[in-house]
Amino acid sequence: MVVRSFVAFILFVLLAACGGNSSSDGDVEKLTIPENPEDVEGDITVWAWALEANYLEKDVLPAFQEVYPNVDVTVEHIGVDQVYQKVSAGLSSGGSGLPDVVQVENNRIKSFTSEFPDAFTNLSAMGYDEHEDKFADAKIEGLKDDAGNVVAAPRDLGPVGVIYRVDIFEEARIDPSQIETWDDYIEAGKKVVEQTGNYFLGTDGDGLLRIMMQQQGSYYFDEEGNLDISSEAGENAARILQEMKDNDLITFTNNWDGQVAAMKNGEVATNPGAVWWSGTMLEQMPELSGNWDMFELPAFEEGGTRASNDGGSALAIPSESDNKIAAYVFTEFATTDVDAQISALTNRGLFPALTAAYEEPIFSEDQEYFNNEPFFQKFADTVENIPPVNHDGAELEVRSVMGSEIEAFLLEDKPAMEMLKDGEEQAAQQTGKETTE
Amino acid sequence: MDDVTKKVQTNQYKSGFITPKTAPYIFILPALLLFLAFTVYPIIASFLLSFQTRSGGVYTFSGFDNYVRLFTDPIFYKALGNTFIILIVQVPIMLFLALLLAVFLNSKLLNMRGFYRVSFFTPAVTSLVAASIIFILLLNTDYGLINYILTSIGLEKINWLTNGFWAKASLIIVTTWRWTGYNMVILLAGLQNIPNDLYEAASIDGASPIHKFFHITIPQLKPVLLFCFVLSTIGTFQLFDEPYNLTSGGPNNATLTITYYLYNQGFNFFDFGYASAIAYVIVVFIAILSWLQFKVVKDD
Repeated sequence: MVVRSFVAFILFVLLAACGGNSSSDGDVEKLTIPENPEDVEGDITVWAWALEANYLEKDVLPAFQEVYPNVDVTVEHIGVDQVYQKVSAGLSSGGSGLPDVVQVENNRIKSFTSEFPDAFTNLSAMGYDEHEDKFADAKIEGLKDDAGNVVAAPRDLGPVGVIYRVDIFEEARIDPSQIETWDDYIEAGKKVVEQTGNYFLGTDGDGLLRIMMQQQGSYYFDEEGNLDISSEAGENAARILQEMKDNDLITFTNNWDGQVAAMKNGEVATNPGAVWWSGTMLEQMPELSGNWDMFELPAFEEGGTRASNDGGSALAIPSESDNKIAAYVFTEFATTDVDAQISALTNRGLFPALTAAYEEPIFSEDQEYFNNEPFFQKFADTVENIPPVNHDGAELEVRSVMGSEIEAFLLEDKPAMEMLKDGEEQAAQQTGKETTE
Repeated sequence: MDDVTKKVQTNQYKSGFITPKTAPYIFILPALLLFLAFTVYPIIASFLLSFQTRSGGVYTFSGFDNYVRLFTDPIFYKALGNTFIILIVQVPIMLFLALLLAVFLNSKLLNMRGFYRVSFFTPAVTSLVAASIIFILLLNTDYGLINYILTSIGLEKINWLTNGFWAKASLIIVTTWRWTGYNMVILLAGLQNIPNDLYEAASIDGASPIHKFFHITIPQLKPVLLFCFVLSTIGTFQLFDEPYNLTSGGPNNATLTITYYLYNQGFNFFDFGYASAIAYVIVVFIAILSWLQFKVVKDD
């Protein structure tokens, strides 16, 4: 008898456990932000990693608390992988255990929203629309859902330029202002390689390919989310990469640490990379102060676009947050307060997406480390030219495929065009996506 | 009088919920509940999940789609191939080394046996993240100790972690380093169970140490060796920490193991249905291989 009821109990547990997940109350509740900041109250938890976590806790929080004294904010420093794993686990289980505000990279937003359409709170409905014009198109467009609502507030941006070694360029008698196209860049590279015996640039993944594709207004995906890797833009980029490799300009640096080491050792003279490299450089290669500077990304043809973006994150409010109003005011403050953006840049090297911040003196100031030039202004100048592209939900899978293909291209002598074709085929196989022809 | 108390007692037992018959069930109940919640339920749930795909946040049954996709997935075959190469190369080398060490450490002629046993076993309990960092430093192409030694004896530098072949070799070296001592301890226990009479009898018959090793030690150790083989096979199929920390599965997927691929699908791409299908394929492979190993040993 006991045994039988026991079996029944087990079955009950199993059935209950199997049929558990089926609720998502749409975002219909009306939330109005109180006029008086002191009326906003409650506790909120924020998940972020590394520099951004420090920024939110040390730069934003004290200033925020002065305006909103009744909101109690806890910033939890969690590793980037852990944040994503915890968010995806939380969303899979119907939103339990999620924080009120979470840092998400631009290229990850869609991988959440395509799997979980109601993952994040609609910020437009809470009034974020009024800030939309304050950000670069390339940034804010990527943070909207299909209906055009902003679902995450833009924080930092990764405008790209070519960071180069001033001393090596001088030695090789290269005038960086004369480098306008990728062909010019390759010619300069040949000279440097001949003189130094080192490489001209290093790469540890598909970052450069993505930068070059975005520069041409194209990406791994077209606007409908179809795979568009072996497009004309992709082929242009592959042609340049192949030429770099044929002339021994490019080396495979294995991983992040390898890339840092290559820059620090002088193994490479340039790094076509995002502005956030400056933080790492200041921290890890202080002895090279004065030896680095930046020129704009070379164009594919004369007069072409010389801007692109790599990385950058945003703040989102999970739909299950119990205190959306406090979460919203914190998010709004952290993303639109100009002073806070400036401290993010000066204290942490995080480049704001808020264009109003570019008017501040820090941008036009000469940076001693960067050849006494207005380093940040140079990047800021490119921001309005960055073409917006579609970061699809399958971005990570495709990046993983293309990362392996780049390794095959650099290490196993696979031709660059073949790399594009194989990559596209494999990405289609992995993601089940259509390919544009 | 005695009879009466006995009767009362048995009646008391019968009337309550706890009787001698139910007591065992009640005692194992907590453990059983935990086992159900954290072992049985995930096994069943992931089996069901392997027949589902998610779109728009909703899981729908899609029959064998995940399995069909799996068998047409070139990366899956690559991961499977890598796993088999490691299995075929690494497990025999490791078990041979472990057996050799065990025989030496079992010898009464050796001093400080305890010290050696602990030393060889230590890697099995070391944090792999820490160990991987050390190995990354040792294997560094430009500044690593191993390449330093190679170049100082006049050999070429090896791109340990950025060349597909050598990355696999590095993985095999690290895995061997980690698990040889573990298997050695198991084999050592097996060795100590071989009755000494056998060796004495053989000595009287004039058998050489090598004869004794092949005709007494190995046959007597057969069940223990089999145990080590099966454990190592399962271990290789679950190889994850080493490639994750050492090579991130690269270059160009040369060190992507099947478990690593599962992890990528599940926790990087959130494709839990596909990851579950991979998990069940691993289960089937391990079952077949273990069965084969038992079969081979039995037929001898």
